[in-house]
Amino acid sequence: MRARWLALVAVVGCDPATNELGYGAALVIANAQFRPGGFPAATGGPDTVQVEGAASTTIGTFRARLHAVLAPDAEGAIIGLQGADGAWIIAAGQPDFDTPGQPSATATYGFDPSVAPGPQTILLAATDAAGRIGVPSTLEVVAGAAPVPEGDLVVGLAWESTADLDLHVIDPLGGEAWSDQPNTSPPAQPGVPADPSAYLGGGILDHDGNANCHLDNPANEHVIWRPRAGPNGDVAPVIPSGTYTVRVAARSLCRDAAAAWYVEVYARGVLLAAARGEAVPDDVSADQRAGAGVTALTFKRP
Amino acid sequence: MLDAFVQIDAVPYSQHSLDEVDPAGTGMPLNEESVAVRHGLVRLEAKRENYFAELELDGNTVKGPSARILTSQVGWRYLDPDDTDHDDNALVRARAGLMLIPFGALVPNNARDRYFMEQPTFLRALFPGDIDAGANVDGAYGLVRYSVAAMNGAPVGDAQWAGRDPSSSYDLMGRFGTDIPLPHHGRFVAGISVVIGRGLHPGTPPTKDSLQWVDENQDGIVQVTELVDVPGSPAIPSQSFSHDAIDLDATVHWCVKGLGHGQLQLEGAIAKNLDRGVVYADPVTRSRDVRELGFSLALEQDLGAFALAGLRYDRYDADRDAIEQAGVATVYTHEVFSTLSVMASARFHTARLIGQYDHATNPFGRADNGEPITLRADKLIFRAQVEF
Repeated sequence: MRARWLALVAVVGCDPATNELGYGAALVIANAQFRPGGFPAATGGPDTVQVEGAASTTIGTFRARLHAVLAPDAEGAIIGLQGADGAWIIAAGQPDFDTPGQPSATATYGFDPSVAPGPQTILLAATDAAGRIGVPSTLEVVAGAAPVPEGDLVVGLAWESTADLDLHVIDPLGGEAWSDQPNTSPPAQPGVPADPSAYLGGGILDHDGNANCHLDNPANEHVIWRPRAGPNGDVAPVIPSGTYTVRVAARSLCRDAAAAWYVEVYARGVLLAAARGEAVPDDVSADQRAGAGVTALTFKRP
Repeated sequence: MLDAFVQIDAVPYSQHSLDEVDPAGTGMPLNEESVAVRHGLVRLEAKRENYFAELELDGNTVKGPSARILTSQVGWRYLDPDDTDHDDNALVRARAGLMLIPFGALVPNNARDRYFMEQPTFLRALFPGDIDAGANVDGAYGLVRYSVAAMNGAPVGDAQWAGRDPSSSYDLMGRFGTDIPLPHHGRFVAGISVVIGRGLHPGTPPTKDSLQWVDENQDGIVQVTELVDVPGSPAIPSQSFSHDAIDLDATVHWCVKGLGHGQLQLEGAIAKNLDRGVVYADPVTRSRDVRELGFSLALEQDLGAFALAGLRYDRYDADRDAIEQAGVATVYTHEVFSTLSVMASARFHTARLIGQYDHATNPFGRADNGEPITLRADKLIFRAQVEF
């Protein structure tokens, strides 16, 4: 049926651009027009004078930038990843201060999580007003996998959703690290002398993922015990013996109806425990406090 | 009097449809290939002597199931003593409430009287939703038709204010026209409409100092030299701006023996800062006035008692002074939307089945050379409607 409609469109249509968003493409570029298919062959268009950008970027992040200087008759640029389907079209911008008369092309890009770690080649070809495509220039970029946080003990929560989830880790002494109190070490008590570096030995939350529904990519949080630099030298982590409790609290599901989450615990890089779960609307509570959420798992340390 | 009207739309094909959600962050699905209740209207009308009141309710599933007041108005009229049988030809009619905006020829038409699925793009831009609250005096005297109105200036489909009146001023509008009978059941209807008013650019509340991280070396690690102090700013007051439009409409009606009624309708408008539905016109953010121009030309012809066909072309330039960077040069460009619609309808009593194919062009895509090009937006729609 759809083929028949497409045939009808072919009669009355006239080479419009695709409305595909390009989600899932190996290379994703912000504020650009997606162009399905392989990278186009050169057809006598303008040259790319120079292209530069970061030498490496982390897969799954969306922050790397590239910048190109194009030949004077260029009006646009096509950017793609060598060997991958899909490219992106951007309009050429104003010349840089130090290259007058030569249009520029600037883009922020990221690699899809499906891209294999390793060296990747970004192609950039200038185009002129007639749509002629120039010989592409290349930018070599090393795509790196997101590193697992290092530490003597790492408790991680990851989820793929817009939801604002919170990781709560409660140590055997009752100290709890979460977004409002990001350290398992108890805060200093008024009037009681305290070691000003003691807090560095606790499990510390690295960041508040998707805080206030502001999307991270990817969404995760970690509570980490590791040596930390203090004012009087490195402070060793203090990992109390006993049972640890890991809880997951849903502050808001934001734009999603549910959020699947994954909790894992590593001790010096070795997986100790893992659990999966799902946050649903009934789990959402505005009353976020210590002890909130559902228990994902417990584990013991000697 | 109570009457009702139900309109069901089925879209079997839309080039613009995607199984995705809106990347702008609204979370709304981008799928357009679906069946929806476009309108479910219930209208209550009451008349006593020269007074009248009307309440029309609408239930639809266009953006999920919803119910709303479509129109609600009260009024008084003085009929021509020599022609009291025709309510439409009151010498004077004064009314106030939520009503179809009395501007031009197409906007004041109730959905149940239209054959083409949607209003032309330029009218969806200038008067989104077709309805606003205000007061109106209109009437007919001989061949003359007149209308003056003071409206809130906040159509229900306003992309920014959604029917909430943002400014204390009113949009003043009027139409002066004629309706001339022609031989053989023909008519010539024409008019000129004008609107002047004010829109509002929203201000911002005061902001606190903040830090911004600019990852200059792109290593993903915060360094002190990459932190930028963003000072807080005092509140910025809202600013109002003037908007206006002038519209010309002309319609020729005829009757062909064996076929029936037909009409050729032309309407066009030139406007300033009035786009509130398609490409929002805010002269404060653009630092210049935004000038719009649009028109539509429609042909409709009965094909006997049970069928009707139509053809319409509409074109809208949302910003006649738009500029864009093209390589080293800054050039004028056009934010032009156009739609060629082919429509056919079968009807029986008060029931209609309408099929329409829209071939649309727009400036949202980008060609290989970086220039604006049409993003696919053709659509096939079937509509079933019954009035009872």
